[in-house]
Amino acid sequence: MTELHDLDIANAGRRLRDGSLTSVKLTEALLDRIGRYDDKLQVFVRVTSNSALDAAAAADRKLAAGVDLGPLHGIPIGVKDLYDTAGVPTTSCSRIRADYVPSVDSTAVAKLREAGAIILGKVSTHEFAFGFDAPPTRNPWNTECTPSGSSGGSAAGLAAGFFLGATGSDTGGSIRAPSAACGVCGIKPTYGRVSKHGVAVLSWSLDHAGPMARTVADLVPQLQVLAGHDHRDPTTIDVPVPNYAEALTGDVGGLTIGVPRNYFFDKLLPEIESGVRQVADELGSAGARIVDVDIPGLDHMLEIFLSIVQPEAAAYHLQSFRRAPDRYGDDVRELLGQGNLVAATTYIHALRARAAVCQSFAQVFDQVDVLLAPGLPVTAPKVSQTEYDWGDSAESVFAAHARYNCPTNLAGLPSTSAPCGFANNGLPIGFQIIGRPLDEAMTLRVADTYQRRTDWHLRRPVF
Amino acid sequence: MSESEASNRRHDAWATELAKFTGTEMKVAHRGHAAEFLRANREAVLARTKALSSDTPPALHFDARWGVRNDRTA
Repeated sequence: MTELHDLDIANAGRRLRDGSLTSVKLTEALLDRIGRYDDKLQVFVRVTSNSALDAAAAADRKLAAGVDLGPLHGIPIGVKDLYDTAGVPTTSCSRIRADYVPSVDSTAVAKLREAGAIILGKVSTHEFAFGFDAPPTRNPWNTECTPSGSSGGSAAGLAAGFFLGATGSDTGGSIRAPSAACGVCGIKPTYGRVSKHGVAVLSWSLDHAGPMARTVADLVPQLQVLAGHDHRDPTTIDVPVPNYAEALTGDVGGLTIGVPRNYFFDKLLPEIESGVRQVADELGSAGARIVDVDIPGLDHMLEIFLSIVQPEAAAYHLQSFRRAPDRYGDDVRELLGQGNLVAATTYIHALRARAAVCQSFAQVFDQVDVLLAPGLPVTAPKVSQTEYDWGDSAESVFAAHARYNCPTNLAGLPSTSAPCGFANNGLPIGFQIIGRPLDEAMTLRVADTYQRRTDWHLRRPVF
Repeated sequence: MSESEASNRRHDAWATELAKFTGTEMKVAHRGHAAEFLRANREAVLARTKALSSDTPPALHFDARWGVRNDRTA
């Protein structure tokens, strides 16, 4: 029988309903696992054992009384420490927020609780999500490595079997990069699809909130709950939310999948390129038409991204940065300091360039239903590693983890990330399926079809 | 001194003043790094936008094409 920590959300839900498992028993098993292994992985900023067990008991009582809140009823999840949780410290992993205890939940957390999810605790992020690791969290596939970030606690905790679902946030790849680095799944929805009310800001115009899980199918019930207009977040889009479960048909027949000729396969590990091209082959075998496409105008993506994210972050942090710059970590202090110095003209030019990026993607989506690209050009770095060595050049970890991901933050497009194998060093590699605005369903359908035909998502690390 | 060198010096001086104003207490080396980084970024973004037609509207094409209401590029 499947170990409790290996259950997916659908199977856990089935057992909760057929009486062979209770939410309390599942929660206790995961808390026990966290107790045994989190010293090594350091996923959690704070484990909320008592409130989790209380919520699990309440979930069991409701089910016994015939009250079924849906697929997340009684399912234990982890919450990135960027999301406000009423009565529980929400530090954004920063000394600046060390004493912050929100009085109300973020919209996302409130929705997850209403859907019956059991919150096991708060998991690590890079400070204010401004970086591609999540210290001190380690990667379960190799504890000498980071899980990438910023949603590194969510990704590492999923890979380690600490929880069945998690929240993440993605400003330049912070859901997809750690998903790829830890062999789990995540979706960055369309900009405005999921409320960010009560989620600490990194960059107002680039931030996306979204779910993470071990399978694409497990992303669906979480996204279903999280998606939707929220009057408290003016960037959310007031459009109907489709039934995402209906998208998981396992059929990609007749779809056209574009594989970019430019940019997305520049400077990457050969085994990642071959792994992602095997994804294309598999989807082609499943009936999709695979075409090569060019996406014009993807020059200087990283510079354009930084010219927006840095001044927006600096604006958000202006007061506390002036008051107590020393309470930020060295890297975030430097990024915010630079952000204060970006000229308004540079920011405006970056916005113009961003509009051109949107138009480039729009033209490509006249030809294809989705795009297939690598999740990262590299595998997870060692904890002390600051650069990747490409032989003829070196690249910062930040740049390497952002460059395949930030174009879709600039364009606001949905993207689902999933694992597709392992590199020669034994670390996971991943791909992403990028879709048209608001077409999360198509990205989930394609990635889920791949998972129905492969078993990379079923591999588990030994740590 | 060329015009671009003069511009860069002005930028460095301005960056130093602004750093003091924002209380970042950046070290001299850090300021130099920040100025160099910002200059490289600015030049890259300028190079990209020079390739755009001067009348490219910031966001209208994207929104009109897909009918998505948002303030992504507003």
